[in-house]
Amino acid sequence: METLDCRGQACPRPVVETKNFIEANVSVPLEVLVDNDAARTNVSRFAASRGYRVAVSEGEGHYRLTLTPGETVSVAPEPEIVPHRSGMAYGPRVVLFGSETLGRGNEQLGQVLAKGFFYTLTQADQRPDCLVFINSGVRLSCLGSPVLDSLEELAALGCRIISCGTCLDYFGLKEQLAVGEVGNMYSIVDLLNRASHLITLN
Amino acid sequence: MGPETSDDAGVYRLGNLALVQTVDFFTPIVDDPYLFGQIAAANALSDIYAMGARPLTVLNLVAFPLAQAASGVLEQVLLGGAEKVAEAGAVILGGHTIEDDEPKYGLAVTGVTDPDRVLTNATARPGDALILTKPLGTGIIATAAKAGLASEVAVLAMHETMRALNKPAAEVMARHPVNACTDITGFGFLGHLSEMTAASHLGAVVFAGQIPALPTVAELIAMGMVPAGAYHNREFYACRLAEDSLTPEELDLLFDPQTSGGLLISLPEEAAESLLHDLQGAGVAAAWVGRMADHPGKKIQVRR
Repeated sequence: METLDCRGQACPRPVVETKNFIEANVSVPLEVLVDNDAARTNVSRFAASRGYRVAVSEGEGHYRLTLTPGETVSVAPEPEIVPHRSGMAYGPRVVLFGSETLGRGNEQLGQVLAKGFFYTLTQADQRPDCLVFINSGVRLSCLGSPVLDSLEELAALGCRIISCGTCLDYFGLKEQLAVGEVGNMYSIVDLLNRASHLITLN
Repeated sequence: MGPETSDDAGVYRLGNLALVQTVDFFTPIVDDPYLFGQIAAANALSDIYAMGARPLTVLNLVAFPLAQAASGVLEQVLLGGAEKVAEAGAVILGGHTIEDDEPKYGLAVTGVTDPDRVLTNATARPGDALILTKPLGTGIIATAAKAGLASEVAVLAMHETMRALNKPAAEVMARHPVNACTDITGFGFLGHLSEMTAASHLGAVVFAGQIPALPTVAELIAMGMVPAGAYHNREFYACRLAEDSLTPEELDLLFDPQTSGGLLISLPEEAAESLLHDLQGAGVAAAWVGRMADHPGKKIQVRR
C-alpha cells in the first residue's frame, strides 16, 4: 500500500497531499501518517467526504490513517478555483449615472425606472461604495429630485455620493445640491480608475 | 484597567475622560496588499469599538523586507490601512518601520470615551441576550483557500467581513443599554464567550442554529478545512462546556479563530429586539445567538 508521510506538516497541507494523491490514483488504498490532532481529524473528514472508509491507529508520536476506497468514491472535485487577484482588485464599487432618467425611449418611464432603481439599491445585499452623477444626472442629487429619499438613505448606509461640479454649474444647480459632495473631473477619473466594479447607466 | 481581565484594550482615566489603548499586528493573511492593509487596520480598531470607545489617533507598526522596499507593495498596505483609519474618523500620527524578512502590519490605537461608559467583558448580567454582529468562518475559508478548495463566493465574503469596521455596530450599540461587550478574534466565538462568562462570573446558553456563518462553511468543515487554531481553541475551552451541551467535536465553527470578527454584545433581553432592529438598519447583519445564564458551574451550554 502507498504511504504518504505528512508528519511535521501543518494544516491544510496534509489534506492537500491526500487530495492530490487520491485524484491522481483513483480508488487506490492509501496510508497517511500525521503527527497532530488537527491533521488526523481533517484528513479523516476529507477522505470520508470523498467516499473513503477511514481507520485510525496510533503509533509512536504519530497517527496512521488507513484509507480504503468505498463503493462510491467521488473522483471529480467540483471546487471553483479562486482566480488570482492582484493590484487594485479591491477598489470601490462605483455606479456612474449619466442622465436623470434610466434608459432611453420614454422619458416618463425613465423617471419611474430611476426611482425604482435607487429604492432597490437601498434594499440590495450588495450596495455600491460610490454613486457618481454627471451631466443631467446631477438633477437627481439636488433639491426636488424624486429619488432624494433613497440617496439620503444610501448616504446614511455609508455610500459616497459625488456630483460633477461642472455639471452643477452648467445647470445652475450648485446651491441646490441636497446630498453628497461635489467632485471635479480629476477626482472622478481617479475614482473610476480605482473601481473594482463600475456600472455605467445613461 | 489592566491585563488581568483578558479584556480587549487597556483603559486609563484622565480626569473626566477614559483613554482606551490597544495594539494589534500580524503577518499577511491575503495576497492583495491593499486588502491586507484594510483588514489589519479594521482588526486593530475593533478592540476600541469593543470597549465602547471612539478611535482618535493611530500609529502604524510595520515590518518589511528591505529587498522589496521599492516594489510598491508596502505603499498599498499603508494605503489600505489609511483608508480604514479615515473611515473610522481617526488620524495617523506616525509610526515605525523595521526590516524583517516576513512582512507584518498593524496599528497602535488610542481611543476615548466617558469613564462611566467603558464597556468590558466582565459586566454581563444573568438573562442578558447575546448578539453577534458578524458571521463566523474566516479561519475555515482561509484554510480552504490555502488548499485551493474555497469558492470565489466564499473568499469574497470572507474578505468583505474581515475588512468591515465594527464602527456602525459600535455606534448603534452606544444608543442602547448594553451591559458588556467583546470582539471575536483568535479564540473563536466560544473562546471569547468563555472569557466573558468567566469575567462576569456567569454561564451561558448558545443557540448553535442561530449562529450566522459565511457561505459554504459547513461543506468546508466536512472536507477537513478546519484550521489548527480551531483545534487548539477546542482543546483549551472544551472544559467550559456544560455536560448537556453539544459535544466539542460538533462545534468546529464556534471554535474557528476569526480575523477581524464581529462584536459580541450582552444586553437585557427586553432591549435586544430594538438593538437588532437598529443594527440591521445600519447595515449590520447581526443575530441573536444566546443568553447569559447563572446556572450552576458557570458553564456554557450549546443547544442545536
